[in-house]
Amino acid sequence: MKKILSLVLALAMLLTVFALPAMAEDDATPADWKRAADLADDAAPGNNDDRAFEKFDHVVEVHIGRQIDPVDTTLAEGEDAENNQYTRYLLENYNIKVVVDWTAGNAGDFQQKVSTCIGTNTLPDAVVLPNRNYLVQAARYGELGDMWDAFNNYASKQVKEIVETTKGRAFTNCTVDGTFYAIPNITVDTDGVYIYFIRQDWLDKLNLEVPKTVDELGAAAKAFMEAGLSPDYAIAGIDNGGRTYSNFLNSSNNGYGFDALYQAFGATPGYFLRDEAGELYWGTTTDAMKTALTKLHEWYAAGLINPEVGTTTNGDNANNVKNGTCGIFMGPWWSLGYGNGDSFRNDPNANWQAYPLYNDAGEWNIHMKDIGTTYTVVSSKASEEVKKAVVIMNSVLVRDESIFDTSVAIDWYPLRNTEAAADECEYEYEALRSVLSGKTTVEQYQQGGDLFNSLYKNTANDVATLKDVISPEYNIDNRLNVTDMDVMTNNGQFNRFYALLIGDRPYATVTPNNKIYSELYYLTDGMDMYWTQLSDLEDQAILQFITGARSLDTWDQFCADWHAQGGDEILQLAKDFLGK
Amino acid sequence: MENTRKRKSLPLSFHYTLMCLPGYIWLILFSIVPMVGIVMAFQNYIPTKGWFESPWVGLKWFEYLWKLGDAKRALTNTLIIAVSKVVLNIIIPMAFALMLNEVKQMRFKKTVQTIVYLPHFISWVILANIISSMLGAKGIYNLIRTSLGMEQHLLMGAPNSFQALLVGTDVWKEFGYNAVIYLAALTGISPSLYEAAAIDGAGRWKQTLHVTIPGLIPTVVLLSTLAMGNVLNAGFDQVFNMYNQLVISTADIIDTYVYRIGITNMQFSLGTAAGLFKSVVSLILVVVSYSLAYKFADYSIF
Amino acid sequence: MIERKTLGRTTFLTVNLIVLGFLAFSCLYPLWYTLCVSLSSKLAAEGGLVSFYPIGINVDSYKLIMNDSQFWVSFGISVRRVVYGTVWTMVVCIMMAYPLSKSARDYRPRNVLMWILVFCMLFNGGTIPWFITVKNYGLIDTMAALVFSGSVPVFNVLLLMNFFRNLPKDLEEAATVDGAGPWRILWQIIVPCSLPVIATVVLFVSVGYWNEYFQGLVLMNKEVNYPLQTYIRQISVQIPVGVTLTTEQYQQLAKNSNRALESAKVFISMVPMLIVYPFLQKYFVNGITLGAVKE
Repeated sequence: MKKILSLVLALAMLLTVFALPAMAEDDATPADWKRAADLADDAAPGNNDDRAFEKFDHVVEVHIGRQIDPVDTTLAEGEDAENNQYTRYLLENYNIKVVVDWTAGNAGDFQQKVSTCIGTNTLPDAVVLPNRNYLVQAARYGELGDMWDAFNNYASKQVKEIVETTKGRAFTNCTVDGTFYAIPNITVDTDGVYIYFIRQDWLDKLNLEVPKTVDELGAAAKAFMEAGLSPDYAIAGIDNGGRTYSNFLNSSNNGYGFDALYQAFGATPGYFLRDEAGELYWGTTTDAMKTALTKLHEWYAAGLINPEVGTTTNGDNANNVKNGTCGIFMGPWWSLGYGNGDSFRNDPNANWQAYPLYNDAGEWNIHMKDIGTTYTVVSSKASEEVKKAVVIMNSVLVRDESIFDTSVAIDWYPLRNTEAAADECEYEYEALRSVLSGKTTVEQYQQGGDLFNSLYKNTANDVATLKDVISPEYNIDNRLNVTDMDVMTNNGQFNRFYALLIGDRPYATVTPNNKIYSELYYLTDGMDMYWTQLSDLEDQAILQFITGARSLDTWDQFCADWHAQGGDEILQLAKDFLGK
Repeated sequence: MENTRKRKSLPLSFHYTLMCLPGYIWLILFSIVPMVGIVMAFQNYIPTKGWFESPWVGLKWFEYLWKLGDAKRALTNTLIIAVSKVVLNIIIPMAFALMLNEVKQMRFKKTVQTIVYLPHFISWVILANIISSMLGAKGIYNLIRTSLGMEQHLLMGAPNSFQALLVGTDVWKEFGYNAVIYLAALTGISPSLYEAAAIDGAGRWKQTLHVTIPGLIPTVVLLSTLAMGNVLNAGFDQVFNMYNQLVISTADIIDTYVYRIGITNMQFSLGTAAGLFKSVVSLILVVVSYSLAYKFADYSIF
Repeated sequence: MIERKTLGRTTFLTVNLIVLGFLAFSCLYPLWYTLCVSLSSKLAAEGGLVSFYPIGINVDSYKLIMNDSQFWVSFGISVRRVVYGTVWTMVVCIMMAYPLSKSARDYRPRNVLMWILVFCMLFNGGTIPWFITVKNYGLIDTMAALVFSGSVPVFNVLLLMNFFRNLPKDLEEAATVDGAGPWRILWQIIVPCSLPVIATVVLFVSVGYWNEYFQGLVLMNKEVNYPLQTYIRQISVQIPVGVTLTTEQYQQLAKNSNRALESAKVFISMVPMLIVYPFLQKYFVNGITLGAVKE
């Protein structure tokens, strides 16, 4: 008996020894997390009778602050942020009454309001914080409520499945000083993958091959200008306030940046990286970055890049893309379609295509983003009921998003938080192509069908509306062109399909050679003291190097300044933190 | 009879105090009460603890500011921009008033005078947008340049000339309005002085030099002393709405810096410290200019 | 003015006229430009094709604004704010400025009160304490916040005071001999004699109230309570330096721009000031001295 026991113990120890390092490396999931696999299936959409979708027996008020779209026209007369199809749905089905304490009309104003709330300890019950800096500050000030129990107990199985795909990174992100404070925001990986968009019809007209490398892209840009297709400039850039690359704090969705180009030079600016010896370094102050900037400045000086890069306002940087006088820019998959529907409304034959930009060795290295960007938090003053209600609101959106009437902008959903499987876009790409080719049918993806998958919540609706947009004559073996699509009939779905089938095609079909992650995606303790200064220094220097306002001869000086003005401290702090 | 006697028994200063009262109550409620917040500059402010329980840190934030390159840069920029604005906002409107004074066509004079006030009424939020389109690649400025065969020049992204742009647009916005004071002073100069000068054989230039300009000197002195309080006010609204990453090195002023650290990055104590520093320097400048004006011009501005 | 006609003089006058004409044009152009953009087609406006005259002329933007109820709600709020705010501010500032225009001999606390004012002009607690204060008074989302939260416009009090101080003393003395009390002297003698400076300050104050957007942004929680400038600022979507956006915000930014419509809103927002100001203008043309010109 004793022998058996000791044998079992020894085995158990062995198992732990082997199992633990693997766990520690990949998975930061807390031990008491209730896994999706152990839970019963969720209720069907619209139902409200199980663990995760229980209707309160009395009305629970949730006070929120939110950003609204001041020029939105999709609400009916008399409706507002507090009274629309989404808030009514929540009230009728779950007894959750949304009270909007305050609104703000644009991103800057919203952040101003959130800052004021944090500074005065007057956060409403729940709010969606725009980045992790806000989460950390508010948590440290003691203004946020612990969300662990509510989220662990009441999040739907579907939400849990999505969270688990992040292998624990979602938990780390939402945890400050050991407490779990927020409902994670999980966006698709492709949001951080940068490609370039180009007018294929112009390439064809000029008999040019699709550019693969930076130099080929530059040659195409020059050809566009010489042929008079791009009279002002060939390559669009960022607006005032933007960055030419996404850094570790804002690692995704950098529309009109030059990220794809930096990647092609092997530079990953704004990321914490490790060299071959395992030493931590900063991605901006590298020789590769200098080479990339030299090229960008060469392009700028030759008039290829918008001369007003970084100084245009109000989204004017996209004007020439919209009116068809600029044929190249870089960005994530949704940059056209979702991001800029006007281009196709103005010219339904503008055949924009998206391609990866390779380095000279023919490799495609991509930039991997953080799990998500926003954080749905609850005030420390809020009751347990409110916390539960906020969790339910999130689960309801994830489950029911595709059954809502899409004529009302989904932005009106209170505390809207994106939770998507990291590969949702690539999955959809395959599913849509499969339906187009006739290999699978629309019915198979509907609820109850054999290909239905609750993790990919929009697929059912998407495959069903495919025929509204894609011409029946389209041959699946050819490249999908804008001319194969109907821009106007169902413009909302056109925008989505364009982004999915053309914008995401590179990431869905080309296997990247390297995926580059930042060692850190947020400021750790003490870094905020240096960060304002450092990011100001870096942002302005990079733009000035591109425009030539600062000579690249001073590159070494810039690197030295960066290290001297707090960069060394930040690197040391990061090392200490990662060493733990 | 009773009534009059009673009123007379109340001293004049009682009525004066009564007159001041609404204003000072207003001042106390909305200016003085919020000043409690200044203590944040000496604390590590924690919103949940408020101003009475947050830990004290002494002069930590001031020392920290002193070490920050950005803060020094903001101070230098503020001084350059604000002083240039103060000086030019006195000289240019005066020059304009003198020029307008020479115009004999009354209708033209009236029209010009009416039009030049216009920019004063437009807020910077709006004006900044218009200016950036006017100076953009397709704006009127570059349209004129290219039609004259000159090279395109993008002022909004040029760090070296941005301070000049800020000062220039501010002066342009306000010169018409500021000139009002000079125009008024010009009408106050006695015609007999010109007659006397003419008899002495002074031409138009000499008359301007020896009669008109000396007549405007008191106005200039008053405006300059009043403006001293603004030496650290480089114009938050204007800079905040016009600057961008390319020009931040020359455009960042104390107020925009305070906004970025205080509101955008939520370092509330640091922001308050920077603001307090600015106020203290302004107070010193005002006191100095007050004493100078009192001593040399025998004029008490307050 | 005595002058002789010489060649130099004529040249000077011509150059002078040209320079002044150019200055006037530069001041008129932003308005004209805004009007042109608002009347142009969306495509031309966004393509930056408009510079001297509207392209693809149409009034769609103005039609859209007619049906934009929020625009007119905000417009109404701004109008009321200017009216209430200007009346209140003028009454209070005039009453403050008069005693302060007395010398310390006539009114003993005068110097102390004066320095308190100067102190308040230079020091403030910052946005956060100010917000807490206004919130504690229960003024969030009220018209009162838009009128009062800016506190006393000290600079304007100083202007009034300087003017009052330089009015001839005999006026007041005569009135006192006639048995007039301080209140009657203020309203029936001082104020009527100070119309030019009062007109100037009215203009300062009303323009200030009309153009102010920050208080509206911070103190109003609902967009239905926004004054016009705050409303306009939020639709002219702009990323402030140092702020980064989420996907949704980027998409909104990309989707929403409609330059023609924005310009139409901006243009309408400028109209009231353009209408009001000629009425006040005749006062300052008659001469403002701001107490500056010493005899």
